[in-house]
Amino acid sequence: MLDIKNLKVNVEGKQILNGVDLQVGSGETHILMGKNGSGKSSLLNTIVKNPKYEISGGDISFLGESILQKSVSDVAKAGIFLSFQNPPSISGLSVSTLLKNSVNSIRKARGEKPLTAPEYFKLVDEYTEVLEIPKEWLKRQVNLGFSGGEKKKLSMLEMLFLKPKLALLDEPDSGVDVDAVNIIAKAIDYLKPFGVSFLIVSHYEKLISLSKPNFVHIMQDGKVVQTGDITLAQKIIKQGFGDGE
Amino acid sequence: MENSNLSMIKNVQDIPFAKGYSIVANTSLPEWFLTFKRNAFDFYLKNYSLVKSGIKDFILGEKFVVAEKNKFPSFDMFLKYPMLEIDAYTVVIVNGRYCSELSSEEDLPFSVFSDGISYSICDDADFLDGKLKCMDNPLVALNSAYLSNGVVIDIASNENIRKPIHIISITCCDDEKIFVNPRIFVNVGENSVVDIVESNLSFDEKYFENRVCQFNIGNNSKVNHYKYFNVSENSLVAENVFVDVKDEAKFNQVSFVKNVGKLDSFLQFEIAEKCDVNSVEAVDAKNKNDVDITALIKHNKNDSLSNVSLYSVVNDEAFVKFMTSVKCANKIEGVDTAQISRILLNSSKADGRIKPFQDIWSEKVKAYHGAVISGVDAKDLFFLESRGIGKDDAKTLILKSCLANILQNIHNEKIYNAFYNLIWL
Repeated sequence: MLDIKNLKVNVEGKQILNGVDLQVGSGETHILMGKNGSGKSSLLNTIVKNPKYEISGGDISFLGESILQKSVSDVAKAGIFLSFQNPPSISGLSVSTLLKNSVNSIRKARGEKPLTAPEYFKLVDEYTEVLEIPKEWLKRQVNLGFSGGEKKKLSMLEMLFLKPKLALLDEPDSGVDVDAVNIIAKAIDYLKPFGVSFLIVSHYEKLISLSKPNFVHIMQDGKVVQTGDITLAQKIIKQGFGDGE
Repeated sequence: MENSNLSMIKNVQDIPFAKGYSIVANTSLPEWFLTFKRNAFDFYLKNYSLVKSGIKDFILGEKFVVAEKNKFPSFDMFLKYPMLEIDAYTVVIVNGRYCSELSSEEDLPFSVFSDGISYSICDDADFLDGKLKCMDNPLVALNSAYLSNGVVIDIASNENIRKPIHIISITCCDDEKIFVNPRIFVNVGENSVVDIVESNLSFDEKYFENRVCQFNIGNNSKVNHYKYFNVSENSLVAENVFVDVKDEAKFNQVSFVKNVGKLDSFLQFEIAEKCDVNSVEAVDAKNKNDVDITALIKHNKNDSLSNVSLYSVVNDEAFVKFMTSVKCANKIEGVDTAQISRILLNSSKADGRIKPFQDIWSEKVKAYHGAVISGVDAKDLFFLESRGIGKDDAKTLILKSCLANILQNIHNEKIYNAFYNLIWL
């Protein structure tokens, strides 16, 4: 599904990804670990074509097609979703307006009709129940006045609405309590039967075990340096990355 | 220059001068009112040079004629300039004059009185004597000289008016460039609750509107004032709004300027004890719109809250200036006040200015202000694009969101929906 080959990326003239190779298959869950500054968030942002990240070499293909020439929104329409580590607050924009606009843009790209009001409210009922969030959130402004945990839950709500083929979750468990981690895991579980793949940046044992990863990757100095199964993650959590990593 | 300005200003005054100050031929007008008009004109003439230069530039060389008759607009024009669609009692002003034919006078509850100011002066002179603003500045003085054209709305004490009162002010003319002076006087008695909606509409004509609105809010009353401007891009609108909020009263004002030529607006809030005053305004400036909004918040007694938030999206070659000023008199305590101004520039030729002032002479006052002028934030844009929204649509969403900041201050669902549609659809 996702095939990254020898990916090199610059930010403001400095190379921060130095030849990443990574493959994610359909329906698989991958965990990405690494020290601060090793390039995890940069990799996720590069996949969704954040204009701050300049690709200087290599390729990213999704469903057999290179995404290097695609725009940010085209990547999203192709089915890749990013849950931001620190999503922005947009004053004046209600959650409801965001959801309707984003879902309908993606539906349009798929050749589907816009959501009708009853269809929309049915999804609202279903997803707010899964995520245990009050419906009043839909009237709130996007991320404005939300706590860290609430922002992550909102991100999960967006993910359920967009139902991507590949979800990139950038530290979804940072700054959240145990209950919120369970809810994030619930959102992941909810989408797995639809064949959704996940690439999750996390160092939190509970989320890693709840998400039942197929692979765990370690990044260092802008490269994937080690790949294993969940035992690799457990070892890192127990022993740390170590000096030599 | 002085002479040319004087002759220019006299153009708009020729008619009332020729008639010896009296526009309304009604002999029962009380003496105080005629004195009031005369004083207002005299004050205006002595102080005309104080009128802001932009207004002078606008009317310099133009010959405006005081609108003497109501002219009813065509239905087609209303389609071009959509109105707020709400279920409300209507009070209609055409070319600055109260229009009973189009107003729903007979539907109003007994506790609400609505009429032309001239009739009110004749019927009950004592009610208005001393309450009407006369000479706070030259434009108010000029408006005062034409005061009899305006409308008065009086809401009795201890009343909860469930249906909003919708003041619709329409300006329309043919080839003549007209000069109109709407005066709106709203008096709310003690312990009353009311929603007042105000729509200001005009068509493509060039005209000069010098409007004055007064709100007297009685003790412990709750008033929501929702205002909408969608007027000609060839217009000049000078607006003076005075809000006098008595003890323990709540006043919430929400305003949306969808279209205007040049708008010069001055808002003044006089706030008594234990009041809660909120004023939020959004301006969608485009083409060569020139908008200047000044809000003055005067805390005269203890323990009150005030918030003034001004938002604008500035497109094309438009210019927007926001100035907010808070004054707290010496020894005032327990005041909590906030001023927020945000201008989003959406063109290299668009421009904006923000000036917040705080004139506070007490240490027991909390005051906050925030002012931002910027373009569209790249992080916000990327976030929305990452949700599958195309770049242009994402930008539009961010711009409209800036204007939509006013919506959360609208507490009536139907009015909320009407404003929501104006912003988003």
